[in-house]
Amino acid sequence: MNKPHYQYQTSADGQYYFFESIGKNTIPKVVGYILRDEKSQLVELVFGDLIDNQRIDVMAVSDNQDLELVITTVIDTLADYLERFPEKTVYFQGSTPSRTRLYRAAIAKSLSQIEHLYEVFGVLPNDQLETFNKSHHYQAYIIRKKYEI
Amino acid sequence: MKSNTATAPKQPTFDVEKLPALFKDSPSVQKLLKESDTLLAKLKLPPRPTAQ
Repeated sequence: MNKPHYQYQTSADGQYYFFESIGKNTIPKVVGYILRDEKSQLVELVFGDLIDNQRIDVMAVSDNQDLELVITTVIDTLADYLERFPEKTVYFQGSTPSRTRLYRAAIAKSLSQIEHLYEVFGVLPNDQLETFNKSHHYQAYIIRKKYEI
Repeated sequence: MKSNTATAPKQPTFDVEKLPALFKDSPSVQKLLKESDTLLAKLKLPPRPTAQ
């Protein structure tokens, strides 16, 4: 996952990331890894725009003409997060179907570089998991380090 | 706090330690997490393979 991406800041606990999308406008973006299940160490990746430094909007559509760079940055935070916390399993979906498709495209592009390090699953429309296949449609994704630490 | 080498011309500045509270208090985040609950409850992750 060594593609160009925006510079980001990470919180001291390593669970939150901040970066700025720089296109027509400068738009603050945030990524959080929210614990969903303690036993399985499952976290959910939540991505959104930071509005007025006061709230997060996961549905915001900024059209800042840098979408690929933004998505690549989100995926890069994921790689960084799993380096810090290799015991975690990360679940994520787009806040809209189009964003979910963008994640699929970003994973597909990176897959050959990451499949020796990570297990990547797609959640099919029938809620079943399968190993990620770039030609299949998914409603969500799950990624984790390949080997138990 | 960590930063990395990347494409942005300047270091973004924001107090990232405010983010946990903002995630907790933002309605759209909580709505997304609530929507995920149903699907997460159904998912059965295969065991993680152990290193050889």
